[in-house]
Amino acid sequence: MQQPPPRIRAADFNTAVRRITDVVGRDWVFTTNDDVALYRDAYSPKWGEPDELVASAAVAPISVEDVQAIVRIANEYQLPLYPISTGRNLTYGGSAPSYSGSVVVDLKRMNRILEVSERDQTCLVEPGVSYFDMYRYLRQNTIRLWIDTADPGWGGLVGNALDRGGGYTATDFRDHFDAHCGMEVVLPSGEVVRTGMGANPKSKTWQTFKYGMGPWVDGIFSQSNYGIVTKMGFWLMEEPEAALQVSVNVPRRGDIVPLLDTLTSLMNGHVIHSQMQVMSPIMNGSPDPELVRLRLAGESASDEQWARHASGRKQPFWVATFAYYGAPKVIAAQWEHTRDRLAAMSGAQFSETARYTFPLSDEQVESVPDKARFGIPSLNLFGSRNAPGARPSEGHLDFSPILAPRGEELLAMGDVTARVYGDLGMTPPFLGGWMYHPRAMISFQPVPTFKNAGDNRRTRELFERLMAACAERGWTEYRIHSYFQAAAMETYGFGNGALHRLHETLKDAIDPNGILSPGRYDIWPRHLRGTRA
Amino acid sequence: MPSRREFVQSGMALAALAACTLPAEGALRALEGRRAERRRLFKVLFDRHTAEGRSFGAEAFGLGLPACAVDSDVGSVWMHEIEPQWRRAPEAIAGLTRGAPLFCLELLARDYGMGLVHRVRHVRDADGNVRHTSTLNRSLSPGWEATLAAAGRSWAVAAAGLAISCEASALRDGDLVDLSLQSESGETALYSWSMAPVAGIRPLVGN
Repeated sequence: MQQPPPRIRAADFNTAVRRITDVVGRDWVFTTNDDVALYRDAYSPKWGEPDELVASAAVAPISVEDVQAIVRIANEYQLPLYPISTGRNLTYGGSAPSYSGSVVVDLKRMNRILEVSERDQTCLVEPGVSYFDMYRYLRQNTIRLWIDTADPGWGGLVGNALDRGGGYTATDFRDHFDAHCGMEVVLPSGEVVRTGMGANPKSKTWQTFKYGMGPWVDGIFSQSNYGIVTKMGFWLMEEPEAALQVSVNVPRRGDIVPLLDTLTSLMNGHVIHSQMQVMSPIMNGSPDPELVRLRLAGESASDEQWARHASGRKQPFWVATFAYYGAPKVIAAQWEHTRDRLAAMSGAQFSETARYTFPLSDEQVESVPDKARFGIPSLNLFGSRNAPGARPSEGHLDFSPILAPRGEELLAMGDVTARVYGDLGMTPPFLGGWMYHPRAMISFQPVPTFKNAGDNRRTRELFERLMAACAERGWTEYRIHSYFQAAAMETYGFGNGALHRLHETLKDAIDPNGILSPGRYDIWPRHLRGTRA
Repeated sequence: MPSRREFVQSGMALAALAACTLPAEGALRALEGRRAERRRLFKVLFDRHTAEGRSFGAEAFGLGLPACAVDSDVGSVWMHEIEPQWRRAPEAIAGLTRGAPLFCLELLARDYGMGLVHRVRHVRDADGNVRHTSTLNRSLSPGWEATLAAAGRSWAVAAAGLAISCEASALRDGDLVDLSLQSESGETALYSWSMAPVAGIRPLVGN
């Protein structure tokens, strides 16, 4: 048996667990060390240290009624609960709670695909439905709709959307929270609410019209701890007739500025619909001393020095990758227009890397290299988890600041973060920008984690310094590992932390006993403020 | 009548069989006793990119087991074959793969009441010798090291025999494969492994 949560008497903890067992059955309550250890964060930056975030127990309900009963019992004992959907979320905390001693509410048994409407191009799912489940369902039933999958695809639609994950297909679907329409939530009181049109029991538009009437409250259930989402609707993408995956290469470091300006203009003009990412093969090459010196020199390294470094390497300085979806004639026109808009960039090269006509056969699906871009879930990301020459790590955290989608910003981000790595005697990682959202860019950097405290201490120092250096420039994270959520929230400190105070005001109103996910995104219940356990 | 997918997978296995090196007779004889003990395996995965992986797959295929070539992405075989089977009834699987696909399968397996019964890391050292190290917090079947050592360059065949014939029931084990070791020598390590239903555990996901 695990230790009870802090401030909870062992007798109360045992009574609460026994009563929860009466609700869900003995098979679905987990209290042994071996069972609870399965909920540890495999990538934890505190692995094995006394303050690693760990659960005290876990419970796996199968129905909304089970969830209601669990939260009502938890309220009686101020028992902290930590709901997870499929519980992957590696790099951002995995299935470990944000407050040690919490009881994980594992929702994987609630894994029904409740409805798929081909006519409306929508679905309604429970939190245990994974991208794999949904994709397989659509294929097996010959439903010509696409999911927009997270990468890797083992996560769940509900959990990923609630943590505001992103995908790779068309604009309306990539922002997974934005692509949801309607939810059912068990509040900390045990009451069930349905948002938007779901509040009208006779409505046929719960999954097609988001707002209903009055304040649109769905947003407060993302990256928060105000309720347990037990159903969620999503918009699905109609399978296009065809798709064309392309890349645009440009030869000089400074080309990133007009390249991004033009591509974002095309995205906002609805010419390019897919996720777009830009990487630098020159800056991401196997680390050689000259490359490291230039990266660490930051702004003082001139374009001429970079040009000399790039010369003879027979690689473009930047490569942008994206795709078009639709009728072949429309795709051809969009691609032609894109090339026209970029034609003024000297040395720009345009490549068609893949062309598909849908539906794909099973064999064709297997051969698609960039599966997520075509709504196909995979685990391919794990094949490239260690950069060439890098010291192998046990896992990593994603450092994920949001930038304006401008070349100047991306270059500055590379310089600022390289300096942080250099100050710690480390080699800067790759530099790239990912546009899940048409008007913002995320510049991911993987920060390695290990299974020993010494290396992880350096990891945490690196991560904290990256956060601080980037915050100075206005680049703050869109999502972050549980361990760093408090520090990240401080960077959203306008008005002496007014936003954070509002979050906690809501917490006090909705969850006065503070039972749901204490500390998640630094939202603490009143009785635990100023503490971390 | 095999499904198209099964037909494709069989084709992969046959192609791999043609490409692999034949195991040494001595190593085969050493495994004969173990073969008789082998248990039902739903699927045997092998790394398609290495000769050792193909040898492992050929050995499984020769024993009449459903062998399936994989690379670093086990998403498809998971989604279309392993997960549906485990949802119906968890059954043992084995393999010789790199660390990353094993990591994914270990993490996924937990929700289906599955756990490891066997995991040995195989990595070539600077002298070209392959070191075999158990990385599981439980005892493997006696003599596994001697079996692998005796097999010499045909160690992958011996590894298949060991992974296929090991125990039929797993214990709960929270330790995932240690990926920080996977390229210590500059060469990707391979892992032979086997997963089986955990005694007394009901799967979280299933019918």
